[in-house]
Amino acid sequence: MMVPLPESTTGSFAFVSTHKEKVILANDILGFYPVYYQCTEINLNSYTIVSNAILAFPVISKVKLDYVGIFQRRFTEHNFTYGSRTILSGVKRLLPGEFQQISLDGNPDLSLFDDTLYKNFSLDIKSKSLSDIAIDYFKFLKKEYQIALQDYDSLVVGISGGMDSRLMASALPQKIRKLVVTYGTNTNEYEVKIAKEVTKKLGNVSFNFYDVSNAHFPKYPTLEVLTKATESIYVNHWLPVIAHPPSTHKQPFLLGDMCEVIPGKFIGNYLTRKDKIKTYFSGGKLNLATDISVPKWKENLVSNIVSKLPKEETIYIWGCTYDHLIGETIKDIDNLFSIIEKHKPPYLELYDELFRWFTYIRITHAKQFLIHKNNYLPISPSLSFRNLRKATAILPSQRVNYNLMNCIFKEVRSLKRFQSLPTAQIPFLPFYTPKFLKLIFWGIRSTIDQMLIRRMMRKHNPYLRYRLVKSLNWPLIYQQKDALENINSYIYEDNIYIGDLPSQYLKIKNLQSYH
Amino acid sequence: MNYIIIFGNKASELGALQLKIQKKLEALWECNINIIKSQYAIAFTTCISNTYIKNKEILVHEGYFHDGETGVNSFEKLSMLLRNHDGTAA
Repeated sequence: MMVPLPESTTGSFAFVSTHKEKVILANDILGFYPVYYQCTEINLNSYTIVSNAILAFPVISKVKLDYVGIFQRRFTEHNFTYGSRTILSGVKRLLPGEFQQISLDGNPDLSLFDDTLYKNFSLDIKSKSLSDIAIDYFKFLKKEYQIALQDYDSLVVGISGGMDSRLMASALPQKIRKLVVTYGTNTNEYEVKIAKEVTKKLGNVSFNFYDVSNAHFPKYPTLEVLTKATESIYVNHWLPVIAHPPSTHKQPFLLGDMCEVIPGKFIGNYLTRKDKIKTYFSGGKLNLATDISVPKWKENLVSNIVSKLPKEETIYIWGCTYDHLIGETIKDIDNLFSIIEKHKPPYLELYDELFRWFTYIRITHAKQFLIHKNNYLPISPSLSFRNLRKATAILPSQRVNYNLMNCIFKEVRSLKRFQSLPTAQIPFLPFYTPKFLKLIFWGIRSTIDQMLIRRMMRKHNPYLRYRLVKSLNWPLIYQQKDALENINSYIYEDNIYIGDLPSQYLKIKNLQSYH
Repeated sequence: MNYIIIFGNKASELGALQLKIQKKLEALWECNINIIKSQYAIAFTTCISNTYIKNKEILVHEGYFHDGETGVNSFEKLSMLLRNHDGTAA
């Protein structure tokens, strides 16, 4: 166990240093900056190679592909490898909050973890009112942003129609110039209109709209160049923003919306639409993490993950047996469990949250970071280790269902200017509308949207209205004229079984399935 | 020298490391790749502002770290904290 970095410190980082005859590698508690390492032999000498790019390893040493890693990247739900595994055999990625010390003979001689999430969690905080927590938290958040951005006088920030980006932008230092970016297929879309309204209220800003109508399926050379430069492909509709920065010099780019942390979006029991409605009325029941319930939780999670992987009879992977691929994958997930357990989350639902943070959030933020690094200086204060510690000290029931977020906007005087604006999720109603009315309207809007989608799919007509309010039109994005041609060009010597990609695309384009 | 540290702003820039294999080390300079050597390590990096050598020890980092006391980003402080790995600076 590692005694944590002091509570006064903050940041998010990857770190490598030589010290006497050892090399020290470390990353922060979430660890989205990739750090890869390999202990190997070159010309009969032991070497430790450390890099932030996986491409570096084949250049320096002889490495083989890790088929278990490739299997995981190709077939897991969000296309990532679990634990420290990568797609190269013997090349490991540092785990969340890991500290490694490697000696000259190439042996890791010390491995420690920052295990301080939920450390300050206590049921005593029930005695503190939500209003007090909200005011204190926003003050803290502003300080986090000020620290992270203290070396800059301007930055680029993405604003959507929701509350998360609105809160993030509000926490920015007033003196910093904000280059707001948003995207859509048309400036008349509701999200874009709201983003514009939010921008007006921010002050010290410029507004930039990016048309993403023909961006989702780029030509192969664009993907190739970007992948080689960044080792990452992320949401393609951001490509115009990434390729054409609003400023000629490299600007900081604010990453990391607040969904993950403040509203406890990944706390189990609150994950689905049905859960949200149920927990709104019941408050949500949390299950204590015990010696009996935690192993059961692990078993269910592993079984759920494995059930989504391709079955033995449907795929043959590179000469590996199915049992080997699944067995190794389970070991990797266990490896991650052992780190989650070190943090001692008090409830099973918080185990869910941490598992999502250490997999989905960590990897998607890594991708965002890498792809933005090409033309920007990406920075993510909302995922600083101090912020994660702070947020995990708040009761889950106070975070979920936007309870804390709503209270921040209600209680913090400087944020009241945003109260009159609606959100894209609950259009037309100002944000200050009572919560139960918003829930009813959200339910109506969501039901109408689903009816419109069903009608559009029944008639196989992507040009029909598909939302109550005009918003980013995904069915039209899939009508991109050169999409199929471009997708076909991605498949070259198909070694990873993506041959069905064009037919998957056509199903969505022709509204036989919905993405 | 048993440690090789390779940090790049862009992964593609590290492609220039191929040149090392061809024993054209001097060409790396032309590719704006920094080479820093210490007793046990050699670092190739394009993260010029994020890499330095102090007291014969190499430090490479990404992101930010704020020590909360001096009011500045300080990876040297982080380095001290990690070397002691008990959370207290030397």
